[in-house]
Amino acid sequence: MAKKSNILQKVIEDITKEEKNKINLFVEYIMTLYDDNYGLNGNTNYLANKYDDILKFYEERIGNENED
Amino acid sequence: MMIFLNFMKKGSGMKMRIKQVKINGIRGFYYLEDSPHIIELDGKHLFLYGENGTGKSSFLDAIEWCLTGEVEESKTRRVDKREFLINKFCDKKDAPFVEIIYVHNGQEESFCRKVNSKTKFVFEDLAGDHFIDTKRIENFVIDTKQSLWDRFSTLLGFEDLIEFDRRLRKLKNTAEKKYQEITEKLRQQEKELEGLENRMAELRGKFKDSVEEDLEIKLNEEENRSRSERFKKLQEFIINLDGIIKELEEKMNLDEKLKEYKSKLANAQEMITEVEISEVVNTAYEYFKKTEEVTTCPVCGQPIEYYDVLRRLENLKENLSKIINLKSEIRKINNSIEQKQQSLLETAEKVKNLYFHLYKKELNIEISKEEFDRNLISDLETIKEDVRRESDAINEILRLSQEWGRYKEIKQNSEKSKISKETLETRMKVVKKIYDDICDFYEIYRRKYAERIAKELENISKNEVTLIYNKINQSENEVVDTFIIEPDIGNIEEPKISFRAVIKGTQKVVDALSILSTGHLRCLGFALLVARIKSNPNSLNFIAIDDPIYSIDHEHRYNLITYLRELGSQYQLIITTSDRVFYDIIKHQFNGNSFKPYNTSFGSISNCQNTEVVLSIDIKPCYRSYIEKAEEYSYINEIRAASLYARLALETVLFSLAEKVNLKIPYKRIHKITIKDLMGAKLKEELKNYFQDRSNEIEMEFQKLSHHRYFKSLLNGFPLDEKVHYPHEERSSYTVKEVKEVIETIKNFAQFVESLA
Repeated sequence: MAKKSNILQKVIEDITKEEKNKINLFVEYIMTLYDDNYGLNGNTNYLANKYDDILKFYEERIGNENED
Repeated sequence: MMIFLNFMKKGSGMKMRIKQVKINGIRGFYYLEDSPHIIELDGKHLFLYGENGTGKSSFLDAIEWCLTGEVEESKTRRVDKREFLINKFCDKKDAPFVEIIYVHNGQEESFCRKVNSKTKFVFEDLAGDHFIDTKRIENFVIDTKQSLWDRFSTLLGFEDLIEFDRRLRKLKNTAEKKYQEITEKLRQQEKELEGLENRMAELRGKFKDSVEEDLEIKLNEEENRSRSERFKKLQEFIINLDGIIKELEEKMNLDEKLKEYKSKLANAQEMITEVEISEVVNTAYEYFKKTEEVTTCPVCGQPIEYYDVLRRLENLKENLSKIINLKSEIRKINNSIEQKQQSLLETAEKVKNLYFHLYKKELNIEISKEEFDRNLISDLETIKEDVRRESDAINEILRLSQEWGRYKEIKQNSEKSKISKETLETRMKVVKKIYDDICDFYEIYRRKYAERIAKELENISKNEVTLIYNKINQSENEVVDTFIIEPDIGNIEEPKISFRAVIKGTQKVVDALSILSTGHLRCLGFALLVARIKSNPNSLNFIAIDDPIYSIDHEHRYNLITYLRELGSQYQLIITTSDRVFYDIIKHQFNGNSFKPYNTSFGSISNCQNTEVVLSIDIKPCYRSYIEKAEEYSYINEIRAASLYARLALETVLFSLAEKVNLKIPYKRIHKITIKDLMGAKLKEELKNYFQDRSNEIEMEFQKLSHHRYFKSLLNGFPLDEKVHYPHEERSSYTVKEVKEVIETIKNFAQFVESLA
């Protein structure tokens, strides 16, 4: 108890709001990890192991941008 | 959130008091259709006592989940939140929920959270701070390996941010590694491509004047196949031609030899007809051999020298043998020549056919039996030279063709390598972007996260912290005037917290950690969390504390209770404890109408009747479970735990007796009611009066108790101090045998007490 509920989610949301100019694809990726049951923190448990997932996300997004 | 803002009244806090909690099918609370567990608070404080595992935490988890949407314990234990929340006996059709009815600004409102529902409680963001977890304070005290920044941040509930920071740093390292790897891979690819291009240039040099495109045509595969076949035929022709030449040479040698033998034979034949001579010689020889004493010629009667005649005959015989041998050799040579002739004819035929096949014209090779012309060999050598030249020319083309094949293969590899390089370059751009993005994000995140924690710390009034700390920590030796807790986020890479204290009366500032004991740090942790609630103008009106004495040593508990009473004048307190004495004391320190006492037992939470009796024993006698526990621990030689449970069993029994006889205890320091106090209040005598007919037995049973040094210690006022709660620490110990005797004695004593009832 007394743990700041969803604090990570709030900080990331702050970043997306306040740092719009510096915002990058990575934040978008982080936001995809949000989960109703575990929040953002639960799903970022093994973030360092998600590199391949991030790469896939980037390639898809960059590929889509190039197509556009 | 907008609704929430409308309700806010700056400086006054959110007037929210819990009236009632309904729990159904959550944690330890069974699901009862249309009949949830109802815990009435009526806006008053709630003091909840219960042994471990009887549902205290279930109750707090339930209200925490209802008000915040989270249940942190599930995260701590890393179990599925849903799994953790729903009571294990719930059916699929059941709809577990927690409903809280509260009074807000004079109006009764309610919020019900159901499993799977995404409803948000209007004060959800604020509610979390109002749950004080004393385990968190303990971690703050003992987790000395962490930096002060991490310790304070975790105490304030920011561990998700710290954890995410660690994960992000790890990911940043992974991204950097991946970027380095792909850079290296690309470098190797470039090196390989460079090598291939160099090799191609080298091969191109070998083609000299040949233009690649012409070569492509010239060296096409089909032509090369026929070239290769022709080359083979030419080689075959040359081999056969060599064969003819060799055989011709051998035949010529034989002819020479024949001539020589014939000449020798002619010479020999000139001298004699060998057959005739042979007959004579043989006859003479045989004759002479048999008769050694011949001195005259048997034909003419002339005197002869026997040995001289014999020698001459032997010579003659030898010469004749030579002639015969020569003739035999000549026959053999003639045979060989004949065979050679035949072989030559066959080879010549073969060569002629090959020649015709190769050049579509006749080759004249005349092999005569009699004559072997050296000119033929010379002609054949000339033909051979011509064929060899052609063969060499074809061979050169074929070699070139092979090189060309290699060149083409390398060129193909080079193309592939170029494509791989391009793919790698594209991948590298993405990998670099990921790395750059993570670095950028990491920097922003660190700043935001540091700012967030710094702001939280800055918002907490340090005067309030000091005030609360001093209230709990009342001591004549207290030296702290003010605490200074200042975050320093100048260096984002390594945010720090400066934790100092001003020494009373000196204005001297020292490193707080250098003067604070573990106990002091516990008080400080508690003070900080309470001060945070008090410093927040928007704070709600309740504070839930899970076992507040968990991290407060015995000496400070009374002060803590006194402070809680003060805090209770402003906030609705929800306090749970597994310490019965603390529970009793806190009830007596609060106005009887201001709180609702509850105790949890296996099965349910039951409301206790609050009375003003000094010892209102509203705890069900549960000495049996203590005895069982004591026996359990003694069985595995956990002496300290066993003796603690034995003591609890005895206390339970003695308190039940005290209740029975309505014992009055004079006390000054209520937090130190001990067995000694009970005995001092003449419990034994009161019992004897109460059960006059059994006074002798009572005397005897008490004597049995007091024989043991364990009881002597208890009767001498062995207090409930922190050592009791930290049995791992060093303290006076008993042998296993002693403790087992103690348990047995208490068991007998308890049975006797039961018989009194």
